[in-house]
Amino acid sequence: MGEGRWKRALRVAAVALLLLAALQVSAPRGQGPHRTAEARAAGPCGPDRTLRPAVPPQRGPDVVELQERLRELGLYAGPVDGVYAGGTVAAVRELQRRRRLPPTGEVDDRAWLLLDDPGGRPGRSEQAASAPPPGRVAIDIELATQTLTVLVDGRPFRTFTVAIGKPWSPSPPGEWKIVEKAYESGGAFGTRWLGLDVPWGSYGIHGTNRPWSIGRQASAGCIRMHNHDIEQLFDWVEVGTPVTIRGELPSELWGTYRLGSAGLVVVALQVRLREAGFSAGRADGRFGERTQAAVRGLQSFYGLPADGVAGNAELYLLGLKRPAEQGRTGGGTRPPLPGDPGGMRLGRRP
Amino acid sequence: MVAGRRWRLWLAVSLAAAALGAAATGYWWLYLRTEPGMVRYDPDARLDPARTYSLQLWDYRWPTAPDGTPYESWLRSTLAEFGRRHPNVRVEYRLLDPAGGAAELEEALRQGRPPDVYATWPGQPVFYDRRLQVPADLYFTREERGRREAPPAYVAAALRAAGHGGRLSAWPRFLVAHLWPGHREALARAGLDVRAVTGQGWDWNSLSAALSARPEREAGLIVNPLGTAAFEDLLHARAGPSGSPLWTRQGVAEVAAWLAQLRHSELLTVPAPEEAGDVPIGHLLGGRALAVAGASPWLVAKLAYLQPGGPGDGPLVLLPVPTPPGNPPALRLEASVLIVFRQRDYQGHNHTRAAVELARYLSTARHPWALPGTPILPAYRPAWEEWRMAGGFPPALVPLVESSSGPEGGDAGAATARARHLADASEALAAFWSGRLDHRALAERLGREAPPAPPAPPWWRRLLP
Repeated sequence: MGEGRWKRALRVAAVALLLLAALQVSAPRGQGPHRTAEARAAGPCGPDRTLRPAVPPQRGPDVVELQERLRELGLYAGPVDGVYAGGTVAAVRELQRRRRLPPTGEVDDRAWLLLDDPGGRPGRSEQAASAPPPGRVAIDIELATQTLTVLVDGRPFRTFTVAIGKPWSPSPPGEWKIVEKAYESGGAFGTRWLGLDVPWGSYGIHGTNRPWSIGRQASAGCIRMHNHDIEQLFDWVEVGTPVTIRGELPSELWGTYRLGSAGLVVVALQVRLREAGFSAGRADGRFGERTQAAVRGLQSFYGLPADGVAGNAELYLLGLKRPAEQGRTGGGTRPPLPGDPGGMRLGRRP
Repeated sequence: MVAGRRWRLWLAVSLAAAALGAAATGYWWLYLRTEPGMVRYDPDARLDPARTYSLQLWDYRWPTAPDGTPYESWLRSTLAEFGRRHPNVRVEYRLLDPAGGAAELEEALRQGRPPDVYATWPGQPVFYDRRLQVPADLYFTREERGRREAPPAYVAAALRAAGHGGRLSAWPRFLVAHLWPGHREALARAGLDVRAVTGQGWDWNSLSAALSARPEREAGLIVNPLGTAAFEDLLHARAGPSGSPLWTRQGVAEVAAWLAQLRHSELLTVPAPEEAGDVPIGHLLGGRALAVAGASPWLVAKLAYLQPGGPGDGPLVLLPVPTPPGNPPALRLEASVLIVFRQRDYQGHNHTRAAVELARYLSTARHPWALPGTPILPAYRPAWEEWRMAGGFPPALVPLVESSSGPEGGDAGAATARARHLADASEALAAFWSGRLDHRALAERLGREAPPAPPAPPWWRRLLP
């Protein structure tokens, strides 16, 4: 191989590398790399699987959602048992026939759209698409009312109706940040995806191919919006935009929590620490150094060993434990706890 | 004619002499009221309505009170009310971290730029700097000082604790009483009359007898092994209300010997330091301990509000610290006060007056932690009366709050020495609780010779207000 050919090969390789780097930089965050899509697939709000008539039949919450929707449309009168067989398959075939499609009985990403009611979309937001005024944008989601409010400098700018997690797969209350913005192809995530930094799963705010579910407890924990709504929202927010999800938190905790602990229980701990006057920073479900410092502050103030670990005594003082559960030393009478008997909430927006 | 002129001359001379005499007397009075080397004060200065005053308030970042009042929102609303009363006084506040606040103040004093008003953490010095600290007594009104027919505006123990060197150095804010939380039913099971204990006090013998009479499974008296509070409470109860020195060799020896005896008889429970939170709380709330010695007053206040029935009606009861037989009841108090400072770049008598008014106002506003049924007592008399009537505070100790026989507040030097001593004492006591140091060795290590009595103040001090 001559020297000129080597040089040419090197030049081509350098140009290719530059092009690759440029592609990485210019791609919207989360859109380019497949890693994020895989992470989403592994999370609670994964993409749809294709339902097919099979033996043994497929089962799952997506079949429950399908059966409920078919019932609403008057196509199915059988039990909502999460089993994709018999009457459910027949109802899907009937729907496909009505929409002049081959009655295969298969339900894929696109087929969910057939279930939309052309007569009207419950809870659809009818709002102008004007951009928010300049200021600090934040998102506030109230699970009790299934609404998402865009705040600009703390003041409400737009409110959208959303779908939230089902009671057995709830949306995560907490103070999150958008860590990913991605374009989607119109499947289960609709046309846009805004990923949140929830430490125990891949949760996000996204569009949907089930627009009828908006305004309901319907998702696996993510926040669903109409595609036209998420498309507006997508342009208004950045990676780093704060997202507060307000809802019920565990009112009683067991165990000990220390540096590295994570989960909804840590959100509850952080919220209670803050209410008690010990700032633990953002209620992000991660027991980090700020949370540890807040626990130490509480321990020092109340004269407990300042080891930064939240155990029985700390949880009791925060109203997150009853004395009967105080391990080997506890027992006796049970004092009422703040928020008892119901759960505690990540407070209302001021 | 001549006689007429002489008469006028005499009159003029007399008037001049009287004026000179009055001026000299006034100067002498002002001289006596002003420390040597200090700038003058003008307690009669008033706020100028045409001027705007900007004050800096430094307070501490208090946790949310047991009744759920967040401290900062309380402070904001209190300052807003002050602002309505004094529209031309603007107050900026800063909340300090309890761990580093004292150092920040000392640095500010070194630079000559302390805040106008500093709210101390309980137990901190009440006196810092002669040149920069404004004595509170100069600005006390007749009503605040008290008259024959009306008591002073603040309880006597609080006034005493806010004083230093015979002068009132600061405005009292609240008092923290070191009491032992007990379990009403557990105490009764051990044969103690709770009403008598809180009404008359109790001594080491009655506590020992109750501990011996308790059911076997119960923990008896739980001692907090962290810090020095439990031991200091007992030293104080031994020394009595006169404020005499605590850490004398004899005092430490007596208290340590009594505790060693209780421990030998298995009447005491001393948890491992890492269990110093779980064990007292669990046992006390579960009714499996008579009392806890050396619990933080803030913990006691919080538990009082977390217990079923709330403070006063729940199973927890605030107990006086037991005294050696024959001693009267004793009460260990720490005070939080409001200190008014002036800056090296003096901003004028009117500015000082504005700061004084802020300190006065805050001293009369009830601190969110000074809740009835807790060991946190308001210093302002009307609030104290109301607090006391709500119940929960041992009646045996009420006279001690209303008498002025307690110790005075300390200065910055004494506080540093005390902190050093307490660090050493804490280490020695940890060894004592873990069994590595016996009571004789503890007394040897921590006991000090009783210092000579302080010299009597000069006669003219007694003339001062």
